[in-house]
Amino acid sequence: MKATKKYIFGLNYLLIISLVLASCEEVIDITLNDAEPKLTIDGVISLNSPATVKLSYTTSYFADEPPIYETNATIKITNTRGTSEILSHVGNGYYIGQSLLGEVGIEYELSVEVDDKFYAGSSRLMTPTQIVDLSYTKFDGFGSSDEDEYNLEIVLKNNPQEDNYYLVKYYLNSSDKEETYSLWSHEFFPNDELIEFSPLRFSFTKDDFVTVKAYSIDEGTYDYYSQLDEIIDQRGGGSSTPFNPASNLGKGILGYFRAWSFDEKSIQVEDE
Amino acid sequence: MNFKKYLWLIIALYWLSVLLVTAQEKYTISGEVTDAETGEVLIGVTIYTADKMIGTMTNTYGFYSLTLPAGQQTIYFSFVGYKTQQKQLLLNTNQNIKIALQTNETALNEVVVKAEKKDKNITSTQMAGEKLDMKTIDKLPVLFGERDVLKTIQLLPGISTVSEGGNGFSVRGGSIDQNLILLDEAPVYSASHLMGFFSVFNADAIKGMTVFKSGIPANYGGRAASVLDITMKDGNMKKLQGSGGIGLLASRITIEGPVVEDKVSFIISGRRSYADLMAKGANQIDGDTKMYFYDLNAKLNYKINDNNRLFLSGYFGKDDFGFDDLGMDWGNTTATLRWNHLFSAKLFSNTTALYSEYDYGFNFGDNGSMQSGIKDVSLKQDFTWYASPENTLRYGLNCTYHIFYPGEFLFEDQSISDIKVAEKQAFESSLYISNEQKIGQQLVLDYGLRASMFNQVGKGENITYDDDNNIIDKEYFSNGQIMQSYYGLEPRLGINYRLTPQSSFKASYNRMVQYLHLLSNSTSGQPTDTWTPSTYNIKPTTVNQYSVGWFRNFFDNTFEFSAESYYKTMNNISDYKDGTQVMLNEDIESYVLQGEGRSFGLELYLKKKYGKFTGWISYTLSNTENKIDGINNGQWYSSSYDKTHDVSIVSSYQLSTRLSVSANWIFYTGNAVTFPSGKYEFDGNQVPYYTERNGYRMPDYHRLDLNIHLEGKGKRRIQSSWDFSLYNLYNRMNAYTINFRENETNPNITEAVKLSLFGIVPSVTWNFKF
Repeated sequence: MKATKKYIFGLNYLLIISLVLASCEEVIDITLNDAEPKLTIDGVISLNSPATVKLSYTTSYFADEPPIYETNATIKITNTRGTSEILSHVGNGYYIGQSLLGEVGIEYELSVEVDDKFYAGSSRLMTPTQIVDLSYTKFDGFGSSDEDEYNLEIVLKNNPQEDNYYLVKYYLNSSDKEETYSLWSHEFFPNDELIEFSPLRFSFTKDDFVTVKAYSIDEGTYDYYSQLDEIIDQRGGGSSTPFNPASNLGKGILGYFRAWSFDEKSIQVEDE
Repeated sequence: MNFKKYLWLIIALYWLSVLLVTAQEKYTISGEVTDAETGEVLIGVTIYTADKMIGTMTNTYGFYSLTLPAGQQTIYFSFVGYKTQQKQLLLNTNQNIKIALQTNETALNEVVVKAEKKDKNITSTQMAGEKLDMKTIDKLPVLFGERDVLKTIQLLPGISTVSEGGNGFSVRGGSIDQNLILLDEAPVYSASHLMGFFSVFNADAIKGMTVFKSGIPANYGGRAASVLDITMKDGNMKKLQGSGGIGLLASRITIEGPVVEDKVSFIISGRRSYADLMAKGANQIDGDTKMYFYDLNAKLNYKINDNNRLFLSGYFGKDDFGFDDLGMDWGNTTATLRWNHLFSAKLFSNTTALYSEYDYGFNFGDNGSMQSGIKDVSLKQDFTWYASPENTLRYGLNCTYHIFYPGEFLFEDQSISDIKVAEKQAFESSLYISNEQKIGQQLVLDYGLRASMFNQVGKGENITYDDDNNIIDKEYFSNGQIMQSYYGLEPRLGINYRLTPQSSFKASYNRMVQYLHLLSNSTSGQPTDTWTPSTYNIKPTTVNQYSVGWFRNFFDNTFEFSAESYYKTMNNISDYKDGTQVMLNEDIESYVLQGEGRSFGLELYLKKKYGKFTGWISYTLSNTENKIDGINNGQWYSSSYDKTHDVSIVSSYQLSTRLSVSANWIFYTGNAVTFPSGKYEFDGNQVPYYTERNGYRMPDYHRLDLNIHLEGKGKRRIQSSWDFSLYNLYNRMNAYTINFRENETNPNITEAVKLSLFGIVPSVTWNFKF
């Protein structure tokens, strides 16, 4: 078995350092090299939806203009039954399908051809989960802020027959982009019908409107997002050597292709 | 078995020594040198004849042995900070001479004692063995008012800080796990408290230390880069005495004294930090938050008679950190039982039994808990045979049983199966022999050989992995079965050629084999790092080092100057595949990548040892690179420990008998780090894109610290002193980390964010003695 027993620890040791010591953060100017633009594939197929793939190239790190998109690719999605579909480019590097929709228990393969180079990877759509209950508790750890902070308590439906993995994204005030996300493996729960947890990395205040999306994902997607998390959320860390998360589309390519489904629920702190 | 042969060799050498003792027509004086006031034995006291032709030094136990021609002799006993004593004697038989040296209260006011042997640095064969006494350390400015031996050695050339405030250090391009840190001969596996900002060594309990960077003597082994040998105080043999200090972050107290005067003494020293209490007082943290460390040193010293001495010493320390029912703790325990025995005036023996343990644990409240650590039990036998005035032989053997428990996660919920990474066991044994030989008046050679052997023993499994970390094959071994063996022959050589009375040339070679590895995906070292033995998949690290140096004293030995240069090759140094999770990873061995490294450097060191103004300037120019398959496309890249320039200026000025001021200035090139050379979009995130490994540098680091030391008035029942320190006087915001991330308000903008730990930090400590 691959090393899936990862990232159980909400307690990031280096995070503690930066919390405890009166440390000081400052945005700085730094000169970075510009690497050769490299192709990135961001592919997804969701339950009951067609596949969506975005192809773009890396830009210089501090660039604030949009990246260059790849618009001349041939992209095909195939399911385990042998049905396939060619995706069509709809602008800005986006390619979408129409007829082939995501189904539970099916594995999908995405293949991409760009400039006579082929990339292919697959992912399995697992049993969807359901947010059975969403509540909150007052957080009492390092109480350095003036306002009360809250943590979520989440109960998810789980299929005990499967090795399940979950990606849970947390949104504030109807924003399109999540504040942060956390990952949960079946190995850290009794394999019951219901699993519950409280993510410590996400806290909010009384005025926030909180939305939670719980994705049911396969093992490969879990590994990829775990690696991605180390790279994009370096709070206080940065002492371990950063790297490019390993793609399932082949070596020498960035990005990932995943099949998933999700459930969504929102909550707000009630007046006492 | 090979062992038997070696045992015979040692027995043969012993008998040979007994024969030679009786065969000589010269006579031997031997004994121990102590501090007259406390009875504490003194390490490194030079003993020499009036013509300086014959000399020796006291060993770690304060013992010396010197063989001289019969007749009238004048012997000098000299030690920094003490009055040199001379002894006239008519040598017509072997004699036991115990010497008690008086401290030189005015030593700092430059009382030149005639014939004091200040040129020890020139005459000693030890190339890079730097002895530090606590008096030097006492005066240096420190972070949060806690004196720290590990911080002090980082001010020496060739020894560099790995991260700000931290106790992890790199010696000549070596990694932090390549330093052998010994406390009364017991290895200390994790030498830091409170996130690495304090070392576990309570300065009050420590007598002194020696650090070796090259020409490492054959009696040391097991680590590839350096040895830091720390000796605890033995306890005052004359009278009950106490000392302590109250600081902003921690307080400490030490009590020592005789149980039976001049026969049995003890010392007990404790320290506790109270950062959490302070923070609670200031309402900075919640009431349930724990954040403290404590440690306890204790030693019992029993002089049975002139020929036998027994020491029992121990260390126990712990850090506790957490809030509510979540938390982590970690700590070391060491115990040493030693027996010094004199077989004859020329044959000194030391027998040691050791225990050392390091462990850490996590507590996840209702969810479960985790434990991990390493345990050592060890037996050692060392002989020093002062064979003749020209030859001093050292030989012995050592056997250690290691138990590694990489970790187990126990879930509170019984329905989840616990995660347990299998325990590992190993035997590490070694034999060594070396000879320090004087040839004529100018040349001293120290040559030796260490033979080491390492066996990983069952029960356990040797697992074969493919490139994708999948298990291909497993071979099972039952209890006690040998799973994997490694052997090492480690030659050591030191040459000291005295060019003139004031200068010498030294050269050395050493080969070191390291069988233990620290699994860590940070360079600076964290309490959660785990130790692993060399196994079927992980090979031992070997290092070859060549070093040359020129030593010169100026102005009647007031100034010491040295220039040293080294070249080092390293084999089987470890790194990891991208994104490896080290903790609780059952298949960690398949993620370890091994390759080679090389390092070279030039070290310049100018020291003023005597006078009102003392201090040193040290400068290191070095380059360290690694080449590991699977990293950086198999090309050479700068090691994380590579620091091009490293400068320390340490100074202390005695303004009056009561007042002294000291200052440090530190500068070093930023570490080699991996920064992004681009970015890409994935699932709405701006993700940094990395290309070359360690292709960038952190900004240069520099800071100035200041310390004012004020002694209390005259002789009182309780003598007190104050230390006022300012860390980072000009408030430079040095980078601790630089992170690359999206702007919090506009995620389309990416930015580099520098995290600095300390601006200017004032501190005050009150010290007392009674």
